[in-house]
Amino acid sequence: MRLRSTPFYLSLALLSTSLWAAPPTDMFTLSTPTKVPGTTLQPGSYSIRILNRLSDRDIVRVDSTSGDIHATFIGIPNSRIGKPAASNIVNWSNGAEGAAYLRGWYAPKTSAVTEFVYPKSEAVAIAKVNDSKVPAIDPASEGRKADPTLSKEDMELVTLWLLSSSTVGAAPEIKAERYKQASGKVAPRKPVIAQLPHTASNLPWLWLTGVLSLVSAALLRLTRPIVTAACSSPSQPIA
Amino acid sequence: MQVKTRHTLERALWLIALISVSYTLFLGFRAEVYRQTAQPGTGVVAAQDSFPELTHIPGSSTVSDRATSSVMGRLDIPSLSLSVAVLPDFGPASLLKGVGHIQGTALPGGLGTVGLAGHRDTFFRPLRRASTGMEIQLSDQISTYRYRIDSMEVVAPDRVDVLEITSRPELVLITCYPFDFIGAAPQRFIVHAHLISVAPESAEAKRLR
Repeated sequence: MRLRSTPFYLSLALLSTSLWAAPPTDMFTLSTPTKVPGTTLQPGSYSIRILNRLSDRDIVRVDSTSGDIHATFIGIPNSRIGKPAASNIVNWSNGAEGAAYLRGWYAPKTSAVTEFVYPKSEAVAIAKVNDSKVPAIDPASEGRKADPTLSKEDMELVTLWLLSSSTVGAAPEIKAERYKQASGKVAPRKPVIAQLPHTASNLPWLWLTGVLSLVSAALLRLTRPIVTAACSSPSQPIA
Repeated sequence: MQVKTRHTLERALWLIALISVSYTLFLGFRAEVYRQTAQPGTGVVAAQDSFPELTHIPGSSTVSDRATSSVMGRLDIPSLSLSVAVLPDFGPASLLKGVGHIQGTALPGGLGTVGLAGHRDTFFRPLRRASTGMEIQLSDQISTYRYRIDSMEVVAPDRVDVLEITSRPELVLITCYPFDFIGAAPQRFIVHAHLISVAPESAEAKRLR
């Protein structure tokens, strides 16, 4: 009896452990259309949770309660953002190009806001109007396709950047720096090519052949009358 | 040597010289067509494959059509009077028309390291006069991005780490070294530059500069 009940208690213990460690989920409501990375959330209620915690990033999932909108994107922990008073959701103080953007989410039982990582073009637009560093990715520059969102593997590997505005002259310059976790570790990346390109053309040989042919042909042309004259003159008898 | 043989040889040499000069002029003309096609703001989307099938546009030339379909952008270094089309790969055919983008590296203005390779004896020959602080303009068909040269170095061909993503977006120009070497040169000349602004330069800002 004792032996038969052991697996049951063991599986019950494992189940309770996994439930206890389940990622936190939260609910929030939007009254206006608001952008998150990869999609625009229409007014309504949404659930948000962390799908996966990696060493330097979180994978965040947003679902509408009606079940028609789902968005999965990357977030990074940012302890410099204070916990919002009213809701666990943080907005960018200034919207960009007429749209409001969500900045992050203060997940329950965590000590930092999970800041959302936007595609480069949107991050540039946000950085232009906000005085903070904007997390960004540029999958196209690493040969990764966002169709419309990145694959799970690409989300784990894509390089993270921080964009910030520095007003120089009339147009603001957007600086980019690679995001590094506090430990400073950066995931190693496979080289894109095995050897640097061989960049010698055959043009110098072509030029050399052309010039030598030209000079030789000109020399033959110049010496032609002498040779012709020598050949046409009668041979002298030997005395 | 017989007179007849001399005449034949002379004619052959003239012909070789004529072919060499004509072919060189053709390459120069074609490179110029590609460079003109890569004018920023033309709004043509770069094709990933070279020379795909095109819809015929009446009155347009074949070379121009092909250039439009395969050009990715344009590289300008005003201080060196260097202006050349950027092709989407660095195959031998592409490097005769312009400089080639190293696939897998960042796109112009992208967050990462953009790698471009070019012939040291044609388009990238002026790089031997490159110096730190010089400005590089890299355009795709819509936008122009500015980079500034940080350093130059000579490396072995296996030093692919020069293309790795660094702490900021970079542009790496690669050509063979020494510049005056005829044949397969043993080393590579590398120019490192960093992206000044991730935001593309507006037409107005470009006009004012």
